[in-house]
Amino acid sequence: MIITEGLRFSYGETPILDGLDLRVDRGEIVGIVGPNGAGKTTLLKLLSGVMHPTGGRVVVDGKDLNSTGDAERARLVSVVPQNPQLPAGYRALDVVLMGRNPHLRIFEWEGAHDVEVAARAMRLTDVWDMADRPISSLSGGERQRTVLAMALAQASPVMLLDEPTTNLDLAHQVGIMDLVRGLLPDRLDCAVVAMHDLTLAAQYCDRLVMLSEGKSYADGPPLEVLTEENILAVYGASVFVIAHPQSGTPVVLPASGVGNGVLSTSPLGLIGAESPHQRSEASRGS
Amino acid sequence: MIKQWLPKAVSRVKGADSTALPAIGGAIPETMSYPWRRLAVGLAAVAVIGMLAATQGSVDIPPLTVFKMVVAKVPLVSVAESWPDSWDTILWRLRMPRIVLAGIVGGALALSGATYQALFRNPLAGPSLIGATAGAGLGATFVLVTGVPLYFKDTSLVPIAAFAGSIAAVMGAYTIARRAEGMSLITLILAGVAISSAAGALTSLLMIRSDPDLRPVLSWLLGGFGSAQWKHSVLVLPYIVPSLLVVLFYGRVLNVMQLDEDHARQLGVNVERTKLVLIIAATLSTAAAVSFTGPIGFVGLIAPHAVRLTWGNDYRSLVPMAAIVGAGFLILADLAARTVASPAELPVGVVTALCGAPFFLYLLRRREPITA
Repeated sequence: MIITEGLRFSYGETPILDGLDLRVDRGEIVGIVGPNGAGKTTLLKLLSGVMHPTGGRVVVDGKDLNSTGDAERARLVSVVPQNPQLPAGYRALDVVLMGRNPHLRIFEWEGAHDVEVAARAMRLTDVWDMADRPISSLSGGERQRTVLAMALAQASPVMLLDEPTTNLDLAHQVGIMDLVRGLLPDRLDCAVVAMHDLTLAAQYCDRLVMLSEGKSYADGPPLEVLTEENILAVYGASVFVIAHPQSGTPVVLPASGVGNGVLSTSPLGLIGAESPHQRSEASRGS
Repeated sequence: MIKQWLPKAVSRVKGADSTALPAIGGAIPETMSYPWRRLAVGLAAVAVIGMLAATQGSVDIPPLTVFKMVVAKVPLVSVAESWPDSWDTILWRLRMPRIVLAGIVGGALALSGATYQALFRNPLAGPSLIGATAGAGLGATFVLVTGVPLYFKDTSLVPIAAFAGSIAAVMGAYTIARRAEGMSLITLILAGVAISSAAGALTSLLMIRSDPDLRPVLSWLLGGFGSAQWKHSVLVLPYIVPSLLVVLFYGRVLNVMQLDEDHARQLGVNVERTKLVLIIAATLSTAAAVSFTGPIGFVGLIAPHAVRLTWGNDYRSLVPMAAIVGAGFLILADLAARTVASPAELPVGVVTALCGAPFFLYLLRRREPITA
């Protein structure tokens, strides 16, 4: 589990995170949502310990990340970065084996056990068949699952995922999120996912934390966090929130044509201002 | 079954972390084993190239005789001496010191080229990238032209000044690139380029302002093995061998460093320490290599690429293999330098560029694009 207390971070005078208290319990997937610049990426970097907070602290499984060594930190928290640069010239298995780094000393090389852990992780994310292929020959979805396998090979109790579904098509988005969901609670204690796609976040996260200007604006079950009012206040965008026909989780639909924060009335009042037919005519003409 | 790459020095308690993952189906890829055989064949090839190079010169010595003369030096082995004494002098006083030094320098330059390429994730990186060779040139020129004594007692001060200039240039670039939050490799490259330009300009200035006889300086700056002695090899090895071992054992971490820096950090790599250790190793190796022989271009750039394009990117095998290829290549280049226009000698840097560039272009055409 992760606990942050009064987490602050600033670049010079500009505060990015301004006193954030967060708690992620065992068995939970927590989604971090919020507009660009709200501090999602910074928060993940602080949670993974690669950056140190300017105030407050991050505690993972009872250990303060400010005072843990590099390898120990990586044994506590694994990360699936947003846009990993996978070096060409390596096979998928070589890349997944890099995930074993925190379990090895500097001069130590991977042994049979590490290959086995990597192979199991690749089996779980369904890329084992590509173990021998050059990483550059894999598709976007396969690469993302390889990166997930690399994070799994770290065998850390906590996993952080930064926009794991961007650049993936619909089926692969769902595939990745199903995979992550399936890791809990046996293979992973808890996960924190930064996401732009609010609907997908609502579908897969037990709890959402909506960041606004470095603070937690709302924190709770998706149904409570993703309201039309909250989204308008934090994103400045008018949306309709309806219930998912299968799960009942909130589905966020942008109110099109009205744009970004200039709206003062309820989006419901705007229906009919422009019919779908007219809109498609207009877009065809442009 | 997977082969263990190296016997582990420390056995660690493991196992608990994998129980939750499913069992593996299918065979584990065979290619996990370390290419010992390739390295052994490479080393043997360098030895053969060295011996063949020793047959050529003003007096031709038959290859078999060279082989016998080498074997005769092995303790406890006796070979009937069927060659004139003068051949002993030629082989052991003139040719072998030169060949061995060329091999060591070629290996060291390839080693540091491979290290810089890996560290900077930049295919253009070579031993001279962050100022090591320009600094050496300035140091050597300073001693050669300014009237500073060339010798202290019996020791030539030129290599010492070259070594010091090399280290000073890189330290300058490093100091500029270093920040509280870590060192930016891009800043290091740019600072190195700036310091190289300044050192090159100062070198030219010193040459123009000095005594008209510039031949010693020019011959140092062009690089060569004409004055090679056994003691040169003995003096540079203490810098090169530890550097090689350090980079060799950092091979796995170097692979992880091919991810971007934050990703490597998330995987538990101490990125700042790794950068510092590897820059020190590559710079010491470069400085030692160029101190006696002057800067020799192209070896450090192309040997790692030739290995990468042929056998792949894993730095654990790339680094030693690049050193072997660099050694063999520079021995051959020096052989050409001293024999092609005999009795005159070509600058070895001219040979490395003339032979290396077309070979490199061929590799570029033949294989998939270089990525470093």
